[in-house]
Amino acid sequence: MPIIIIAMVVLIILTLILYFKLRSGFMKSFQQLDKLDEVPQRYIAIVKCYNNDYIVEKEFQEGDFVGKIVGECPKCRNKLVIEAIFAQYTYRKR
Amino acid sequence: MLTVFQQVDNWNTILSLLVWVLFFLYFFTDLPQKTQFYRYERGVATRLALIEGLVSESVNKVKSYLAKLGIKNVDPFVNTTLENYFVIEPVSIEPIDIIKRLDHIITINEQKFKQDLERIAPSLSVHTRNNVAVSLAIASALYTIYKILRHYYYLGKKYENWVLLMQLYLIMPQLVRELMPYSRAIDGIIRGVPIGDSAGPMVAYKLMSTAPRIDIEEDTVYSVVNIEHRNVYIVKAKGPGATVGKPGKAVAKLAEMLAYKVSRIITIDAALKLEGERTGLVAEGTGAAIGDPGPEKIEIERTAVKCGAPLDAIIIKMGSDEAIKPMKREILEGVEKAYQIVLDIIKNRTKPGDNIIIVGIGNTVGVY
Repeated sequence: MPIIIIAMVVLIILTLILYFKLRSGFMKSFQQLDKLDEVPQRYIAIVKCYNNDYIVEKEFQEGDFVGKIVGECPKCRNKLVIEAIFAQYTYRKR
Repeated sequence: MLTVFQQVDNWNTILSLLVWVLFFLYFFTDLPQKTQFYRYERGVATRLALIEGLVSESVNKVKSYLAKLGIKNVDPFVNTTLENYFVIEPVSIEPIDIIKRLDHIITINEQKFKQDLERIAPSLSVHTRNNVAVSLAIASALYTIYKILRHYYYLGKKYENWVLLMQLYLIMPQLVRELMPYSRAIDGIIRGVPIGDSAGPMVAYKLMSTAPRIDIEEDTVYSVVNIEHRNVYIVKAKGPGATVGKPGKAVAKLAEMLAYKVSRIITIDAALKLEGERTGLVAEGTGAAIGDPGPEKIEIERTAVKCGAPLDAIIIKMGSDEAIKPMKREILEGVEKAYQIVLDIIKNRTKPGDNIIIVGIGNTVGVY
């Protein structure tokens, strides 16, 4: 009789360990969702001279777009244009 | 109570009785199913609440953007848009002219929406209006998915259909993960930042550079540039507002203008990567790289056949979430690689004096 009780207790403990170790269903998915929430941290615009002699990265401003002329090149006085815009991402908990 | 326990000296009897009760409950009643049903129902309800939060977040973003633009009576307009714009597919058991009918229905729906937007915001520029339209379309897509999921949840609850709820319960985590980027995408569109899907127009921009944009179709432009003594006609949607234009019809028109003397047609588009593939991976293949419901793609294919021109497809791979979120650096690197491949095709697979059509497919938000 005591052997059966001990075996049952061991079985219950093992089951509980397995449950918490390999938690399935929506609890585990919530943890994964927290990790997966990727949000843009900052937007960067790559500004380039038409003559390709000057390139600089700047913070994106409202109204910027690829192909927008944003000034004069400090080296050759040609036009500076936004060549590309991209976002830097970070992971955030919801 | 204590006396009762003291009176019972045979614990084995109690234990066996308990086992028998449990055995009966487990095998001869619906208790396990009811417990499972309750678990599934709670799991689906939690997830649904999460999606509802995403919907309200997206709708509020669009509403505040419209309010910022000085548009009045925002609430009725947004609510009407969320409920009223749906498209009924044309009859498919009779396939004759199905593409024409589908194109007609899509165009009418787009026009109806644009006219409504123009009516409430006549002072807005076309580009800003396109940004509003795409933001609203994203919020509407999110709301439609939410409504469908809610429908099945209530249906499962109403008829105690645990199989239906179990299916929802199993698919919900994946759906939530896929829907989360939609809400983030609205931020990018509103600010006019290029998204992953803008990869095609970005390659087109790199080829066009400062060449003048000539209108050819609704929301679609083309430029003519000379690359290695070839006449290169580059087609893309008219930026920098969020629109995909009508690239298929533009290609057909352009080929007609050139009397079908086109030696090559190259399409560049963003494509979904398989799990395990790297974002920004560039692949080259054959065919029309365009993910529309059909009318635009078929125009490109028909034009290529009419001209007898090879049809090259260049795709920049990304995840479904990355396609609608602001562009990542990896995708930008893919754009550069695709651009180099296009130049390579022009130099090595065409002859000087040839007419080549290059199409940058995708949403041109933030790209001139």
